[in-house]
Amino acid sequence: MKKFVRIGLKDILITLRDAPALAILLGMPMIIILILGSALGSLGSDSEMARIDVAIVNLDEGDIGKEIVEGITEGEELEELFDTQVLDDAEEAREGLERGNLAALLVIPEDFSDKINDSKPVKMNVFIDPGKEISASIFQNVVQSIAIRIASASVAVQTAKDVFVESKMVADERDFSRHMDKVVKEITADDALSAVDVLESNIEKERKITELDFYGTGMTIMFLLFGSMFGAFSLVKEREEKTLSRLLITPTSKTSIIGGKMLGIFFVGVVQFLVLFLFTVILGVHWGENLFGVFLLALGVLLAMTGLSVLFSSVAKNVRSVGAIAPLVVIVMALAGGSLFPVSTMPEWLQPIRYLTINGWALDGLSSLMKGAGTNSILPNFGALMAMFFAFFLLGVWRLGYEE
Amino acid sequence: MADNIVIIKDLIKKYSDFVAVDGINLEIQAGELFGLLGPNGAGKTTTISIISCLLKPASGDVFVGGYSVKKYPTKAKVLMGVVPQDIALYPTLTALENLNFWGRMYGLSGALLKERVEEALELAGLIERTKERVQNYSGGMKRRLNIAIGILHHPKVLLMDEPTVGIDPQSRNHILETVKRLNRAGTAIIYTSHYMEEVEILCDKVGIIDHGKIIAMGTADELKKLIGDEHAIIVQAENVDDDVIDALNQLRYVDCVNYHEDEIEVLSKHGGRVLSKVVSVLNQADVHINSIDIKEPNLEAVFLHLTGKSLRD
Ligand SMILES: Nc1ncnc2c1ncn2[C@@H]1O[C@H](COP(=O)(O)OP(=O)(O)OP(=O)(O)O)[C@@H](O)[C@H]1O
Ligand SMILES: [Mg+2]
Repeated sequence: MKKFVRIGLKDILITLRDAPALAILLGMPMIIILILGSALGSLGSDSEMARIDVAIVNLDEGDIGKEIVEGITEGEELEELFDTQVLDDAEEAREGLERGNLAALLVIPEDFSDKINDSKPVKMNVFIDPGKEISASIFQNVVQSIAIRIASASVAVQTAKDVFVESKMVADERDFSRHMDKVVKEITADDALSAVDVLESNIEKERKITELDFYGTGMTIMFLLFGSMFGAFSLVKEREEKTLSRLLITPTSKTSIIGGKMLGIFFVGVVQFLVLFLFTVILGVHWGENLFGVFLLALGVLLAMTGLSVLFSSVAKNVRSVGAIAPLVVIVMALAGGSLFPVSTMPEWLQPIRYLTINGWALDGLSSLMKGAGTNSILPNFGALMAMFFAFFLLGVWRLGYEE
Repeated sequence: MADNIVIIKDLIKKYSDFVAVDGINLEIQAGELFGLLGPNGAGKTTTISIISCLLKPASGDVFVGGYSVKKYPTKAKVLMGVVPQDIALYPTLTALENLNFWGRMYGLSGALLKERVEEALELAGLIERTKERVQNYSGGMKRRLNIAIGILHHPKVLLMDEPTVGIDPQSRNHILETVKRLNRAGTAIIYTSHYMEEVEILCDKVGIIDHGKIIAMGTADELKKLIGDEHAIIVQAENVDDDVIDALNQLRYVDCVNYHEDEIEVLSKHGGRVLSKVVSVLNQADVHINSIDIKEPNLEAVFLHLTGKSLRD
């Protein structure tokens, strides 16, 4: 067996005996995902995904408002999807939303039925929690499709009808009454039916990205990056504990030594990924149908992580400074790259910085895969991760002064 | 020339402006046990590091088995075993795992590796605790394992850099025995130390190094002749002041007086005759004598003679 493989195997053995490393690389992410998982309510329930908490406030006194409420609360499929509360007090409901108890809130206005019967344009308001944007958008789509169904039903009796749904972030609630600048569509019966189809199939796909999926994958990627801290530890310790000098006086090339070290770091990452992947799958996290794509992205992440280890070890010359720098970098990348909350909730001008992070490229690719994208569509993501690997590695080796 | 396993030629090493090795020339024969004796910071480790291809010299060269360490480091490395001054082991691996790993780094494998590992364990006296993690070992056991790793591949020449630093006398004796055994089996050894007793007992030939220069070289006996019959009278005493030291210095036949931490050292070529005078000077000055000892000429005295300072501060 080649010497560099021996060096890698030696490092794997050392990591397997390093209890603090195992606790951070495996224990912590498992506990966090488990806690988030049960907080999100899907654990232990039979349904494949968490039910989304939503509320409806029906201020309409006519029949159509009631119809909509029944449409959402009584369909069997929708019942599986939403945990719907029907409330009377709009203020109270909005407070619930702000406290984070709800993902979305539908308010049907007072004169809803009257306006429809008078053939006037009407609108319903969907308020959403920006932190649960994915779930909220599912609800919004459902409301939209029901609105269209009602509009088209009325078409039979009336000549033209416009119903549209306005969605608002909680933060914007002040312009409750502001008019939407969307074009008001004219809807024929046929249009309405096909629109409902389209929406429903969209819902089928979208529903796969739950909060659990989001956090399960996001946390996994983030904790894979913590591997770079232990990788840098291993590189720096080899120097501090004088075993690097001892390696250098054996007839072993520098290339084998650095290659072996990196192989060890990478391989620890592979083991960590496989364990966390299985763990999240058991908990019900959907990584999407394209497993090859998932593994390709994981490969990219682990290579970039390995490169980052080399860079860390060149910037921080001892275990203590690695321990100070590495977690900081990993957490900043997790924040900017969307491991902790969806990038879409950040201000728009800030969003592109995710493309400076490993997490950003990985999660961007993973969410495409969850939405059913093919391998081709994530190749740019893999390419970006490979580019990071080379950039980090070369920068690190250059800083280390390969000859010293 | 053919017999010389290591040849050091005009070796110079600088750390920025500081000259750590300053023009060393040495020849070590196959099977020889060569001692490099010098105080802290003399340049012993730097010299060993250049021989073992860890550091590059500023100028000069080292030839190991005829191979220049500058041009053919890999060929030179195969011939050398190194026991570094700083213990270099993986603390969370067992002795056996450490030996197997380092053996493989020297290209050993299979049955040969197994045989060599067992041999090294036996030599280091660690047979009983091979499956224990090195972090649980005592300092002496770590030192012994540190040595065992250096001899796995049966090197032609073994570089040992202060292998007995900081351990108890028992482990130290074990290590000195090991060094002798290895040398008897034909391994040339370069042994650095600042313990003159060790070097005196062990080595065929001794080089004394200070400030990066070899200031004297020869067998222990040859070196001792440099200072003639210099005896050292060592007095452990209390209440010693400068006047007492001055008085001792003025005695006839006394060449040199050193005083350090309640220990007075009087050097003289006429040990027996001076002894009684030393005692009477001390008595007159009301110095309380705890012990008195007279030593034959030794390398310590040689060093003192050559540099005007003691090997250990
Ligand atoms: N990396 C370095 N950078 C700068 N100076 C150094 C470096 N390594 C050693 N030195 C200096 O070079 C001189 C020789 O050091 P060296 O380690 O060779 O001494 P030594 O004889 O092995 O001493 P000791 O008995 O304490 O091990 C010392 O003055 C030391 O301070
Ligand atoms: Mg030294």
